[in-house]
Amino acid sequence: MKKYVCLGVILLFILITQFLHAQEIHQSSDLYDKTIQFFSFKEKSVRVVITGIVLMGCGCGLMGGFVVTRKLSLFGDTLSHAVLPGVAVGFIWSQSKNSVGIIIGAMIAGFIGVFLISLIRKTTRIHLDSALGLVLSGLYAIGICLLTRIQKLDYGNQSGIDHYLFGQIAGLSSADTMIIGLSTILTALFILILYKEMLITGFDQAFASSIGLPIDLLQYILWTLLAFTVITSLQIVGIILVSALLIIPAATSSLITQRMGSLLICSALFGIIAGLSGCYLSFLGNHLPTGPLIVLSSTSIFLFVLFLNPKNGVLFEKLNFMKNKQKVLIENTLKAIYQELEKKDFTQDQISLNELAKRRRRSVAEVQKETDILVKKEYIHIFKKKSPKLPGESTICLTPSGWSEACRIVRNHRLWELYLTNQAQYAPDHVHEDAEKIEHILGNETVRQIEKILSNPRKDPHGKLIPSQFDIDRGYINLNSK
Amino acid sequence: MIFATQRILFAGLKLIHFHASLAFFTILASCGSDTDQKQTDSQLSNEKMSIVVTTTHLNDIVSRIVEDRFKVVPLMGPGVDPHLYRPTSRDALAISKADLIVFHGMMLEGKLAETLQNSRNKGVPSYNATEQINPKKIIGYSKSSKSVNHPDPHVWFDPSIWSDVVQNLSDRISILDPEGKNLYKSNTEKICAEIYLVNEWAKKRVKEIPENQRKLITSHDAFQYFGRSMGLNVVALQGISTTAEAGLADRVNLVNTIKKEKIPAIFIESSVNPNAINEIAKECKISIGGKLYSDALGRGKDFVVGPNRVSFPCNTWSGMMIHNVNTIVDSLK
Amino acid sequence: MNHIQVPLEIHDLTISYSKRPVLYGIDLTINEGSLVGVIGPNGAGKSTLIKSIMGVTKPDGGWIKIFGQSGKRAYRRISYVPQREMVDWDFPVSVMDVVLMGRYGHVGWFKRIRPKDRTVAKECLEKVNMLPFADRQIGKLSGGQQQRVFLARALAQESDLYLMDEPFSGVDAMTENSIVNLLQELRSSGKTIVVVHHDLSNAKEYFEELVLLNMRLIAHGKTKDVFTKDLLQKTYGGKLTILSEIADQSVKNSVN
Repeated sequence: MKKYVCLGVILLFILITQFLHAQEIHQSSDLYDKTIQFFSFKEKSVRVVITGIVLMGCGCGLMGGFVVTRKLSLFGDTLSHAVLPGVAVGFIWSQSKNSVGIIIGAMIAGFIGVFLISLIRKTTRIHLDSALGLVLSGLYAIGICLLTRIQKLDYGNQSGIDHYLFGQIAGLSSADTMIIGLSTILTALFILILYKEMLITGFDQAFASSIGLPIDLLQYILWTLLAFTVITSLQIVGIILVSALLIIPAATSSLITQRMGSLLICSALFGIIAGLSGCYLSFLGNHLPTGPLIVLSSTSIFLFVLFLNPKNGVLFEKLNFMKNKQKVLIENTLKAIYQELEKKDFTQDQISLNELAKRRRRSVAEVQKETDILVKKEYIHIFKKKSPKLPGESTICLTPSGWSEACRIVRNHRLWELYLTNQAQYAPDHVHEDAEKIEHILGNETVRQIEKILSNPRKDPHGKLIPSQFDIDRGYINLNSK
Repeated sequence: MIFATQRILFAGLKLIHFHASLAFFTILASCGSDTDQKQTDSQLSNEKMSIVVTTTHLNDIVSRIVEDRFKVVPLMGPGVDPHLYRPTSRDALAISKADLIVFHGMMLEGKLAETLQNSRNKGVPSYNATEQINPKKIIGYSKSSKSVNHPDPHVWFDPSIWSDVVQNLSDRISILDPEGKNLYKSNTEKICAEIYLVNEWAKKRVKEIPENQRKLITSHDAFQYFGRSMGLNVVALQGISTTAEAGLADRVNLVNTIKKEKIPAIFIESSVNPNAINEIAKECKISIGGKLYSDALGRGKDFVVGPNRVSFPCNTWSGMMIHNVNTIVDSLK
Repeated sequence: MNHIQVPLEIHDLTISYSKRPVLYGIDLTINEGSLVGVIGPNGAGKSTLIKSIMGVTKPDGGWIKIFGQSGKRAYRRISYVPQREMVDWDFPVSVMDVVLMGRYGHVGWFKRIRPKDRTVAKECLEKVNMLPFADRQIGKLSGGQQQRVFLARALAQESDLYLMDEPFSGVDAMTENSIVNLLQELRSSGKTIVVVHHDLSNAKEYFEELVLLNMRLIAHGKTKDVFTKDLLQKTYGGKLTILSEIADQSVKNSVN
């Protein structure tokens, strides 16, 4: 219970900070205007930026699908940090005139990083995660050294490079957007063409190489595309946060799907939604950082899905659990009522609350709660006695629907006991507990099967009557009939 | 394929190893190297006292005040953004050995605060050049109602404030070196006279711009004082510090402003990345009027011609003002 | 002689890891239509033998020919069922996806899976009684069920030579039965199957032909001929421990 409360608090916190930040300056009418302005796509800057962000979200989502399923998350983080020296060198070389020089520098640094990782793994006994850590910190440190050197230069303009660390949307040009688009298209093409090959190399490398697939080559292509995706996303979200955008949309998709194809599609969709909402939120105020807001959006989406996913979301699991608990309670109470009536050989059709309490081994007060639920479900009627001081004297009787439910549950229980003793050779005194659990989940289909196997029995291992469909339909049991 | 790759790797490894070590040590060595203006070694420091200054603006006036009597060590060079400047270990060393540190204050040198505090704790005297300015002259920056009253630190653009700063600096240095008091006083008077002269010339030039075109648009909000003293309207993309990101809304608002008021040109700054401004200019289909010196002065090798056809180097206050005014007026006329 | 291509021919195969010999001078010929069990103690080199046939491990000496060919072209005719440990069970693929992987060799690069491939995959799943599980994610099955899926994949490859590395380890009785039946069926249709087997107690029952392996080839022939006390003792202990002792000694000497 505690962990759900914690998660809920975190979700609330994230959402509130997002909206507080964005609402910092504006009142509601302004908010409306801004929203219209954003979604009408009239301004060229807005169009350029939204296109760039949507393409980046899609690209990162698709690539993220591979990163998460192939356990490359740390690899993505390493690449994003390893490109810093490349950015610095590209900056020095092109003298900050255009971003192409920086991208080329970053790609070269990315390749060096990948090369170093392969080298360390092939020539030493160091494991992949340590190799990644080494390369990440080593190259990043060189990058910072270079930055400190660059700031002394008179064309320093270091704020340009700071924007690669944290992202700066305002400087996004159409050329940048086209490069991002190129990266996304390459990733999409790669997936379309080599889908089966990526599937098999991710799942079973031994088999893949046994059918002749060049697993090393495929891996290098994947890493190259990953580097390209990371580098083109730097300008929007920055080095520090780009790995978040690779991981979170894909992780969210893995909560709701178990197939690679739909995981990739959902991942791309979540990336796009996170990008759009982050961009929209940052548009609502001045000087709001777009990159972090995009990451916050994707985290919020993740938490939403975690909680509210109908299949296995935390909230629904809890609800299901409660529902089941109540179902078990109802059925056990009905069973108890049946057993009491049986004790009297079905000569009476009413039992008192005291008797029920005794059979259920509970107090009368507790039993009253249970019977209230049954009344709500219209399974029983309660006849209250004149004297309220003796509530235990009230009697209950089953309605027709209550009777058929009670019979059904008793039949399940006793059939299962019989099945276990006959077919599975359980000792008769061992079967009761098992049946207590199974009785609630046997479906009609299974019950028919068991009846068939046991040839429609009438008595359970303890000699008690097993109510048949005929008894249920009839509405009562006549013990004297054969 | 794995074996072939391994062989190539091993063969190339030796070559790469050599070159990599070479490159690595070069980078390491260069990390500590100085700008043109720092004197290389400590022979002179035994004889003269040293003053460490942070920004290029301070370097300009302090050097002109003290002439040869002190060794002036600037931390930042031309084109360096003081909002983002991070100190190197050499800087820390110079600071620890200084007889006086002169810094700008008003949170301009955002990332130097800790280093300065450390030096203060160790007993190195430091002087906040803007501390004694009359608060009434300072523009309190409050673009958003919620943010704390953050004063605009770009005071050098206001001639009367800057003259006060020069005066106060001179007094402080005189305390450190009473013997040079007269020299400092006469230099101060020279500087203030020059400031006055250039200022008058600048105001006259600005009047050449038609009244409805007197709008200045730059990368970050450094020109409020400039605008106030010259009679220009000032709008910027980023706030008063370049550390804050320019968001999408800022860009869109600026574009709309430019289009609505039919502004003919916008300006980039020497110490700020011009990407965003370039994009905005492209979108509005206007030209970049030129590069302005805002948070950093220019280089000593460049010269501009000012009042009375005298030329001034760009690494002085006058050079900066003349260059800026010429650039602005010629583009907006 | 060459117009009858022997499925598997190994000549003087020698493999060592870090100077320690694992397989030494193996000469082996398997004829078409045989169901052969490979038995020997742990560390005898059984898995290494299979891996070297598949090209995963490179031999230090000798050669291997599959249907008269070596190298990449040869692999197309083999179905390899490896040990189950190297698989990523969390990977989002269903049972059907896994079996379809067996068809990739027939489909080729850049092309899509055809309806015919799906039909073949379904038939193979049917043969191992796993068709009801076709949409389940592969990690959500028991060990025996997983093994059956891998067998279905091997069947889907429609090869002529099957190599299986301990397919019976860790499976339930029902799976074991279905594997044995499958092997018999394959053999009847003329396929060649080589199975590395770990359990001596049922080796005699499952295989008509046996290879006894302990670093060297101890024996190869019909089960009734080679499943003798003498040969088994040679394989599983006794006289051959001298060879492993000498091997250790030679390693120690080379280090000094």
